[in-house]
Amino acid sequence: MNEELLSLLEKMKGFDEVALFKVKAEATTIKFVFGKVSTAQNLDDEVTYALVKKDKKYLVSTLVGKNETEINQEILKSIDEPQLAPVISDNDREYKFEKIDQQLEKLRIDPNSAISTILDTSEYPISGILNIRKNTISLVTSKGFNGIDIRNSIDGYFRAFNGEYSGQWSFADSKYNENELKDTIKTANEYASITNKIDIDEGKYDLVLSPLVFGNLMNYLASMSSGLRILMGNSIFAKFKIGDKVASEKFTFSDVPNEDRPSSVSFDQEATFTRNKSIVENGIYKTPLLNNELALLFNSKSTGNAGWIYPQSWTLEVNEGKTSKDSLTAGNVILFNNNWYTRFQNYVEGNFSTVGRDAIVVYKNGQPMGIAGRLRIADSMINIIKNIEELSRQRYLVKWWDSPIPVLSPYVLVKDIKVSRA
Amino acid sequence: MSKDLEDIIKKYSDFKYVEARYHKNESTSIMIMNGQLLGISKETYDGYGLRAYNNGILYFSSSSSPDNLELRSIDKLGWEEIGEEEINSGKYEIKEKKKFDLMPIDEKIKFLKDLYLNVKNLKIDSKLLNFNLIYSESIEEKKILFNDNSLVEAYVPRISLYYTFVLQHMDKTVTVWSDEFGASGGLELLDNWDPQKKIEEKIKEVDKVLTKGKPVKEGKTDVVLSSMLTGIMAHESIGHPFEADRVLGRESAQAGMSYLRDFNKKKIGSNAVTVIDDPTLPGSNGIFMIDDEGIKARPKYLIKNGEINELLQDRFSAPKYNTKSNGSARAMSYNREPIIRMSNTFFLPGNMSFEELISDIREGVFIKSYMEWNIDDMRLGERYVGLESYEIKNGELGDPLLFPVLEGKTTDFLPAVDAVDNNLRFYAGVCGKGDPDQGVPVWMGGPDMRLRNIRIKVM
Repeated sequence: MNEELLSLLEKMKGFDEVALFKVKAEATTIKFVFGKVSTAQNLDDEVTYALVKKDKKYLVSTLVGKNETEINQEILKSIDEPQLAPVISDNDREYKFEKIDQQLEKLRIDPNSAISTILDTSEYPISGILNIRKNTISLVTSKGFNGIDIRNSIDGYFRAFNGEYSGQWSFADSKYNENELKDTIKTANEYASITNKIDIDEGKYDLVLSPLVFGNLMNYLASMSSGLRILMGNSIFAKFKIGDKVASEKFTFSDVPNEDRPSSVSFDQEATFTRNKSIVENGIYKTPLLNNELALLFNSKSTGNAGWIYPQSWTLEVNEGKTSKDSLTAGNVILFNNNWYTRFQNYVEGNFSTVGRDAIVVYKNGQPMGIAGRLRIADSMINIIKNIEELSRQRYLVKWWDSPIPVLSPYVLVKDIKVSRA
Repeated sequence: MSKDLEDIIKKYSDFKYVEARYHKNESTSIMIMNGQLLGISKETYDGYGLRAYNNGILYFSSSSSPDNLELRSIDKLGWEEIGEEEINSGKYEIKEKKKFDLMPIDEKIKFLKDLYLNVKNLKIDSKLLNFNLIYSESIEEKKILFNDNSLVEAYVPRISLYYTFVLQHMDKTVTVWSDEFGASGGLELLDNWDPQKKIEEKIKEVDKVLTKGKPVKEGKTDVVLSSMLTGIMAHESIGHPFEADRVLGRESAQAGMSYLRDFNKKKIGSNAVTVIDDPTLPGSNGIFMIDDEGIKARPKYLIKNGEINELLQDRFSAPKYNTKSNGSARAMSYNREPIIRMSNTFFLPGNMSFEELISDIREGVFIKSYMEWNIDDMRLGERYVGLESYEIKNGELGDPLLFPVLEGKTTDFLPAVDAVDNNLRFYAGVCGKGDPDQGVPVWMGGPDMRLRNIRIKVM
């Protein structure tokens, strides 16, 4: 297993520690534009990264040429000790994880049947993308770890157009289920079918955020949970200590790489086995995402999220609530189907704004009255997670252009959030 | 490599259009956190990209090995069309005056550490909580062969220096980032930029705003936007919506569409508004002389004296407009398809000075830099939160202001511009688009610009 990497490792003499990390990403990607196929892509990318260490000095590089070892040794000689350096785990196991859905593999080679399903299901002209992926991740270390993780997955997002109205939905899965694909198209169509424009004034409103919107925000929260980001002062968690109450007690947010989901992985880049962990549990800040070296600074243990330099999340989830989606919209609320261009003005305070896209549905006494024009949520991440009133029982695994890390998220009712008109 | 490209072209000769590209991106990055070395990475990504067109569908395949390229047939109605343009052969190379290796890596680290030491010793009233630097030098090389045997070759070195810092004063914090330093060329850029001076000026100015800034008065007023804001405006609210593929809807589920879909007039701004996208600007971040579809690059006047002039086109959007490509196709790397991209997008400057620009404003706001911007996917509703901002009183700059918010429509802002000055400046950025996503280097810029009677909000 990983013979090529082991042979390379053998040749890399003169370092105290070495880790070789290879990613092979094979994907079929189909792009749809208004009910037709625009592009069909077949991507086959393979990159090998090397971490070399001498004392505390280290260098991260891609491996391309034969002279790399000498060049890297010269660089290490000339630099001084860094503030932080990756620490390879004392893990000498040989480990293999392989889970391949054969139906997905067939679709990756010939996606025509899935394309037909998408085009035949949509009532309105539909645009979007379908990705069928197979990822192979390999890691060998000078401390004896030899691991490989092979999985395939499917994901996609679709936007249906009903004249000036539109709806969007997304899905991600580690196995193929045609009904899931159909349901995604149908949900996008359902949102697009809501018509009647309504003017909304600027002010504070109770908002229901769909999994697409909440998934996008959770991607930002996960990024701010990275220990390095906190250390660099670019995170709302820079102001908090572990154990602080940072959110509504109904809010539990986790990184869950051990679930059977797209982007899940068994080991991190330092050869630590990954594990599921709450970042925020019942409103309490539980842990940042850490690699070995940052764990020392945070007086903790690695959470299995290395990143040789930058700890990263793998795949995310928000715990479900106790009510139906319909109960969330039972009062006077505005439901955001989708959002666009989330931008932070201050990562420490968490101030941001994001623009609604597709169906922004105005509910009065539980009845959908129509679609608001262009609205922008302009508040803070802290207010969003603190003001969570309720979450739906039903959750959806979403992944889309502006939510690249998959998130299993419910619909979320958030009280008193500032909305402006774009 | 040339033989590989020839073999690829030969293998797919049944297609109406074929391009085979070898593309290499090589970079070295140094990260410094609070004056300490955080890490060094040295990355090379290279491989082959193949694109071919048949029956309305664009097929694309990429791999580090030419043997793994494969096009899988799709038996469906295609959306794409192709034009009958001439493909140009050519070679362009950007020369470094000072090669990257003239300065050893330890000297580069020392240079960056010294930047921090000087910044740390600055006398300011707020507290500098964090200061981070990322220095990067890169070389992009490509060779593109087409099925009529035309060949395009390119070599572009680039340098960028990116910083972030956090300042705190009492219970207020600001997080600041910069995209000032990014261009094509060699180490001579570091001398030209004088980053030490500029970063120190920035910190002092933000400190002044944070410690002495006055609350903003909400309401309509005259607003002067600096080149940093006009640059982002040129890019986001003119460049993007003038990408023909977005107007056509090819990006509708991804980066969105364009207000031009519903805009039926020629006049979109005042006579003072001219916006250009020019890939040929010497030393620029978004430089190219021939695009990735073999079309010669040229300046494109998107808006000329307030009138819509032309869109950014590639070989596949142009036939839908019954026109020719104006050379706007670019791919980030070997594993990405060429799509319509901006290069260096900017408002054309005028003749007056900044002093003349503000001289007849009795009461107004000058926004010099921003900490947040965003825009809706049609590129119509935009928002900027000012960082370094000042009141304008009786024709002169006055006290610093705390974070004015400019929120409105592109189609309201452009007609409100009544003058621009002669201070053309550029800012470096990485423009994101496409799926799989692509980030390409760009410049965005403009002069200082005056807008009359615009609504300013408070945060």
